[in-house]
Amino acid sequence: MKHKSDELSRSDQHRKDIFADIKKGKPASNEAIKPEQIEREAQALLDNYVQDRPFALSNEPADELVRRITSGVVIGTTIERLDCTSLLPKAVEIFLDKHDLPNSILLQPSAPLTRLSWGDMGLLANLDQENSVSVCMADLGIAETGSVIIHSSETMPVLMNFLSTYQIITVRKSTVLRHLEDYSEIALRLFGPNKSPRNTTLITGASGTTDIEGELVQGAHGPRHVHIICLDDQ
Amino acid sequence: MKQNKFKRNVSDALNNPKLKVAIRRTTDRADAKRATAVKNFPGFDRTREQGQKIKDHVIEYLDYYLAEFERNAIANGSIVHWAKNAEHASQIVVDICHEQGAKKITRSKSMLGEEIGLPAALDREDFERVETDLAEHIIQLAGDPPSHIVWPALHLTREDVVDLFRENHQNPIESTQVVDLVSSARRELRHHFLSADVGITGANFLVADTGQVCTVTNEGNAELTTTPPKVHIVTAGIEKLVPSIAHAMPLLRLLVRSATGADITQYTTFHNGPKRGTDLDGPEHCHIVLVDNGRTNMLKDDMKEMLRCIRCGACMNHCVVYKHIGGHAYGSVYPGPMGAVITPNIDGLNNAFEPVSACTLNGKCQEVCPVNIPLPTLIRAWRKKAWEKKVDTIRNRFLVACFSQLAQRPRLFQFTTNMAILMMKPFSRRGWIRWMPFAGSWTTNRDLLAPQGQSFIQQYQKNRERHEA
Ligand code: SF4
Repeated sequence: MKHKSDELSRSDQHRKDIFADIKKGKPASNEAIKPEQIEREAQALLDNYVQDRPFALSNEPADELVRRITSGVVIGTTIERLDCTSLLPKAVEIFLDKHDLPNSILLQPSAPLTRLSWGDMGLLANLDQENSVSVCMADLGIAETGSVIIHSSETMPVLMNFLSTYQIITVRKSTVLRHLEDYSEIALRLFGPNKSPRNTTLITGASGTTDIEGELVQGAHGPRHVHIICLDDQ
Repeated sequence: MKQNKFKRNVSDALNNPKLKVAIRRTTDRADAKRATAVKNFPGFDRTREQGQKIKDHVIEYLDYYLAEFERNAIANGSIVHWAKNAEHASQIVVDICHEQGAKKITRSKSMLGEEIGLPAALDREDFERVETDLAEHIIQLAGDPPSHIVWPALHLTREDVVDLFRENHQNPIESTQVVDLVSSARRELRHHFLSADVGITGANFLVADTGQVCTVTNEGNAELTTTPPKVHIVTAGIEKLVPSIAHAMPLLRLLVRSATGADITQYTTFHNGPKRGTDLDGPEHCHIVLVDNGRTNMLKDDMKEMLRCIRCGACMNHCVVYKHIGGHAYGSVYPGPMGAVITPNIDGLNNAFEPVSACTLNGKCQEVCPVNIPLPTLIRAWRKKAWEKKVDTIRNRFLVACFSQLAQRPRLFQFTTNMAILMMKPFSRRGWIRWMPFAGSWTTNRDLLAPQGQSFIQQYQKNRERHEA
């Protein structure tokens, strides 16, 4: 406690010093540059780069997402397509069977999922047990990298995506973007300028590590296996 | 003092065959994976140009973007602090932890945290510090500093990890398999994640137009560090800015391909302040500590390019010096070529000149640097400064003075080189020299290539005579 007040308030002085030192290194002509010009230059950087993104495997983003993941480049991840959301509980059941898992899941508390009929599937309150399974719906997908995007919200607790051993993530076909940059525009549309969720995570595969002798192990802290279900919503 | 220490470190490292195996295992694999990733992305070169331009743009307008980032981070509920130097930066973090009555603190890997001495500062105050990146967890148990900026534990073998986990984990395991070791760490760290009072992360990027802090991990430990505790603290260097998320994307493509050879890490996360009113989880408070610590000095023209660095580690993976001596020998937080350039900015040239002088200037580091930092040029700039400020050893200065005298007298120069060739002959065996008087500092750890016949001038003259005849 002892240093508290002085150190934190000295932060203001440090701020001034840092800005002064940045100015010192600059030619005086830079002083006249207006924010609009800086923004124009920043925009020009983006405009000139468009053609240099990695090539697509398919013209259709969701198709590309599926192809990338099926090709095995996304660590510890499998993918399937489903024609209709109402088939989801059945698909989850088949997944649990296939991996010899108990018939219970932690379901994201979001209406499109909770209003489905889950039959006699047990719904967990936490992910404390070994081999737990979580099921959630991603907000977006990205074809270029085989990623899904999850925003924290009143229906999306972030932790559920990092505590389960098996993670089932659904993503709507219509929400799959082609390139990483496309997310930038969508985010602006979804949240407006300078308002973004507390947490935005691009998930691309299972939690993994190569920290011991470079050997890849899945399930470092989070999921050991990710299963993506791409829902055809058109 | 410090200079002798570097020499000692180097000879210790070279005399440790286990270390060399450990270093090569990781760096050689990283080199190969990077090469494949670059080959598979035909736009790599132009993306590299793009990355360089984005970083240069930010460095040019650093004050504009810092102010914009600060505004937006505050608008999203974070408290922003500023620190000119390392001590102040870690003191701010320590104070926040005290203020929150914290006992247990989780931390996800951050080189800036190491740079400002944060682990030691937290330990001095008796907080329970838990490093959550697996490699950081291992070196915390070992009591070692990181030896690489991407793989901090690359100097340790599986057997070392087995012993460390058996000694320190609550439910030690018998198995020596890597997969079981990882499970053991998973069990051990999980309860720490969920019971921490404060979570500390670094930042790979700071997004100016949204106030977001971007971290990339493969393990998912950053999210587990920032979500359960009451407080999230970010420590970040002021050069980490990007104008927008769209500008971060090409840099992410470069960073991950250059660091691990993947297209993207498993978790790329944008954190933004404390939990919103209706959120189901997240911290109540978020503090961001923006750190200068020598960076504004680097804005000067001959060092500016170094501020582009995105800490991918490719330069050290490809460095012949690093590959032989590893990270610890450098005696600083940042090893390898990038460390040789950055460390004198932080610790002063007097304390960090030896790694600068150890460089072979083979240029490999710049070739692989994803933001095209002219590392050899910057290293040469430090050598020039060292010469001007008389930082290097008297012996070096004397030898350079001799050379310059010789180089100005062609006849004497020729005579001396011819004599040297003659002198070296008796010591050479099959093209190599294993030992020779006055060449000990070269030949103790490697053989010297024997001269291949005559000197260049002799051969040149002979050739010319032949042509003219
Ligand atoms: S100097 Fe270049 S290669 Fe080295 S860590 Fe920085 S960005 Fe990577």
